[in-house]
Amino acid sequence: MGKVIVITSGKGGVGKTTASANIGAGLAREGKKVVLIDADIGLRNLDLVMGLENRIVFDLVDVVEKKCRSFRQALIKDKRFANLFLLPAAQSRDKNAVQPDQMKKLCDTLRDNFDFVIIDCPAGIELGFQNAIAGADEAIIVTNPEVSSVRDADRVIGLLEAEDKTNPRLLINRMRENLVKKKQMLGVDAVTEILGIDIIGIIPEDEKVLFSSNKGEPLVMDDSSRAGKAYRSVVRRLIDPNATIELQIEENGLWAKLKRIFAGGNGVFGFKAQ
Amino acid sequence: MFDIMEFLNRIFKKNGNNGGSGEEAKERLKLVLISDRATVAPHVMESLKEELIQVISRYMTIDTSMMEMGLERKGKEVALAANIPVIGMKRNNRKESMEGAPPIASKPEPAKPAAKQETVKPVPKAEKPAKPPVVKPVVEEIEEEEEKPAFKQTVPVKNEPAPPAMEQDSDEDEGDDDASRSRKGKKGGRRYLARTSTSNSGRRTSSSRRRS
Ligand SMILES: Nc1ncnc2c1ncn2[C@@H]1O[C@H](COP(=O)(O)OP(=O)(O)O)[C@@H](O)[C@H]1O
Ligand SMILES: [Mg+2]
Repeated sequence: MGKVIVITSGKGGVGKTTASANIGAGLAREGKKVVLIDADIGLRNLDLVMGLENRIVFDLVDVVEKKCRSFRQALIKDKRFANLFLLPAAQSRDKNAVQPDQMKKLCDTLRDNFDFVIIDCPAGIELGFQNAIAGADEAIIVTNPEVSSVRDADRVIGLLEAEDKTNPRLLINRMRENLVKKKQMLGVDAVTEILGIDIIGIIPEDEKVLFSSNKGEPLVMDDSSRAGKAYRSVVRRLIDPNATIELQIEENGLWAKLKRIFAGGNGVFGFKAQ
Repeated sequence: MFDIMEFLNRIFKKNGNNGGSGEEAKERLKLVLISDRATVAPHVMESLKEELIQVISRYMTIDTSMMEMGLERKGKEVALAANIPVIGMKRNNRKESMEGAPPIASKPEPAKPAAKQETVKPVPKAEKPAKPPVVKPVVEEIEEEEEKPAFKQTVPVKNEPAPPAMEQDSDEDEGDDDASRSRKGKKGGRRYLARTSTSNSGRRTSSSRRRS
């Protein structure tokens, strides 16, 4: 029996879709059977980030409304991994087309057929959010080290716990080590202290995220990318809860090396795992 | 454009005052989350209300239909405010529950106000004011010193921003899995922020429970 994990944040634009694509692809790369659900009805995007936008026939709403024979008919097989599938969002419908109990049922079905069900949650805390979390066993909260995103994350954590979804884990995205060093950005310590939940990973700011979405290729396959590496570490922790978090995310290149020498540091974000 | 102040700041600040804007972000977030977290889901408030009614009813007959309670917010302060109209006192039960209190002698059984609210003469519906702060007690056996007709209580919900996080741990009750969950937080931030308020979620409710 698989695990259903919702990727959520409250605030929009913090990196949920990017995280869903990379975690999904990363898990598939480790041999897991994975289905990604784009729950952002009306604002379909995960297909594009995954490079699967041209193959969509049926979508999430079709499955829920039983317009196709089974969920399998709506699943799009990934180009790169045979064990990775996408259930795309409906683009021309609104969020009311799906209700939480329907999502719950769908998740129950998928749980029996996959190792991991990853749900890309829409922004906000209304029905779209309620739908996305309804069938989830676990939640990953994506946040940026920035005030409004952290505040919204806190709100979402509260709402999740009110629904008995306990133990959400934190994914801090777009971390900029140099700013943290200058004390001009919330560090990992500060964010975890404020939100008080376990952390599952830290993704650095990386322009390759943009390049990869331009091409429709998840970043986890790119060994030279810092964000890609960080996502692989998140994936390892999803598979093995005891795997260590790689908090040491080093900048590549000569410039970064020089900076490190002058700063006297070694690229640690100032977070000490215990 | 060259900013002379910025330049001077860079030269002279460094390990000077209160760090950069990141520190400010952290402090501001901590403060705003105190009031953000001070919300209570309707069903939680409802069960709190029911339990309060049970407890107070051991001592007084109250008008539950006119009872009001909720969280009140003034700036950073959050308080649990309740306005509970009192119809009458129940001396008998009060005596039992106050240990060491001198026995109040010689009221014959049938005459005292019974524990059941229904036996108390009800306030005539028509006379009830729309807002209930003052409801005249109508039961005979009321004592003088207990004449306060309405029980108005404002319990401040503590929200001092930064108590030392670690020492909170010791007095936690070990069986509470909510508590053990929040204990996992690295620095206990949610823990101490959480304990400042009741809220719509387990972590905070449990934390505030731990306070008392
Ligand atoms: N680690 C990162 N570094 C740089 N840019 C990022 C990073 N993560 C996300 N982005 C960019 O942020 C934008 C929003 O990301 P997206 O995943 O669509 O957010 P959401 O799904 O939460 O709305 C995208 O343009 C994406 O390329
Ligand atoms: Mg998105």
